Amino acid sequence: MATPSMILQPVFSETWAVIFGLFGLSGFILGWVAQRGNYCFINAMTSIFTTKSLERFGALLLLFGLTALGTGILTAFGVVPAVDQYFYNYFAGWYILVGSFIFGFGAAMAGGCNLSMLYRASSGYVQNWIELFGMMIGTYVFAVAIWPFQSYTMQAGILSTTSGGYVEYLPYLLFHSTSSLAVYVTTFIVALPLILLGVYFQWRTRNRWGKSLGGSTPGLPGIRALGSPGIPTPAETSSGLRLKQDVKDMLLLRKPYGTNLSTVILALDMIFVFLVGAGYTFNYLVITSSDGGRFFEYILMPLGINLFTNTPWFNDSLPIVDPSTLMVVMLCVGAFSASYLSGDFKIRIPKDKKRLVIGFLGGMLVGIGVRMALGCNVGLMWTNFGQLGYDGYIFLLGMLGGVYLAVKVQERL
Amino acid sequence: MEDVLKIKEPDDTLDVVGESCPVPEMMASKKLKKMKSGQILEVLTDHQPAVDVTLPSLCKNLGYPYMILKDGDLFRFRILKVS
Repeated sequence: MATPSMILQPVFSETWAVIFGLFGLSGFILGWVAQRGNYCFINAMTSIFTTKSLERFGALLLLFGLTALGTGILTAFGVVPAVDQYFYNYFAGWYILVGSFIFGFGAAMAGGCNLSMLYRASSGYVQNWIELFGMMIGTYVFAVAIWPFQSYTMQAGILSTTSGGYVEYLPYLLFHSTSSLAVYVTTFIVALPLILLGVYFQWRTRNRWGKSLGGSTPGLPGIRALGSPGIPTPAETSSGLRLKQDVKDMLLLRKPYGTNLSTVILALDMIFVFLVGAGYTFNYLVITSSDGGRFFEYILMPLGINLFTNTPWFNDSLPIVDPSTLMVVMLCVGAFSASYLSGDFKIRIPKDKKRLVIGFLGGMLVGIGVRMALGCNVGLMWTNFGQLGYDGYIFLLGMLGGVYLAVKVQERL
Repeated sequence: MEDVLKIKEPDDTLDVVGESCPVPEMMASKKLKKMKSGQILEVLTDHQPAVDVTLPSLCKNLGYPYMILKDGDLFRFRILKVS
């Protein structure tokens, strides 16, 4: 059997200017929607352990499932070649599990995953500025103290695969093929359980809310009872009017986006990037962690310190001017625009200064964790579900473990 | 319940001004565990998503009634712990 190709070729004939523009647009949408939807992977996980609420975790599974479904169908129907889907599957190994655990712990302590850290920093949260700075320092600590050892285990295959790409592509693992049929079947094997589980988790949580006492929330919408199908009742009519009002309020930035609306838009954003970036080696969403880490390198440059020339990991890193860096910058622009235009932007400093220290230390762990795991919750976990790989599952497991530990530690602080 | 939340003075206050999610929810959950039934926790926050999403979610899951009072830029999110 022929070995699957590892050569990317341009699929569409966009110019680089168009590519940069589309990636910038995608980053802007990501920042805007995440800010308006208060989308936070960490929050989705902490609520499992603090309140046993699976609503937002269910939304995360929906996000992964919808992304896998979209990218899988585009590949299965030949719109995007399979090589684009598996090209950037990283080497799986012990470091993804350990790194995602450290990342989950650090992010939950600091108060934000790599996505929420960036959009909240852009909305004026000083805690997240500190976390971002901590992440830069953490990246340096990783580069000098951990990367040489990790790199050795990766090359030697110690608890690690020695190559990524199609080797970690689930259609290839399951069917020893990257054919359209193999991709099509695998897409449903991956996407359907995630979507169904996500819907079930949300239904279960809302069902429990319906049975609970609820609360008095003047000025805020309560939980809506489901109406029976058939002739519209006055209650249903008012629901329709309320929906129109909700849409109007969201468009005018008076009301945040719902979790599931944000989920669908973000999944579409990821699929959009996958499509427009086909053949360009970076058809995945923001690599916030490595860009964040690399900013430390650029900060030091004017001081005559060139990590690029003498420090492991940094000398392998990407140049600053690439579409993914632009995407991160535009993510911040989108988040700032959304927060400013909605009147939410404000410089916020935690009253308890201990939180700033925790933010810095948590940020350092975020930097170490994401570099060990070869990516963050966006660039590795979410993206990998769209790549039909299995690194995302490992990351999810490790991150859940780290978040659980952080919740327990927070309870004792 | 609403009257109790409105009239009664809070038994404990949690100031998470300047903090973002998941901190308000985690800290409130921690405080509530230490409180007795019938007591009121007041969470001070300026983080709109905590008021819109995470704190109501916490209360709904625990079955605790709550009330939100707007105080300038701040929100006073009152939670009544019930058995």
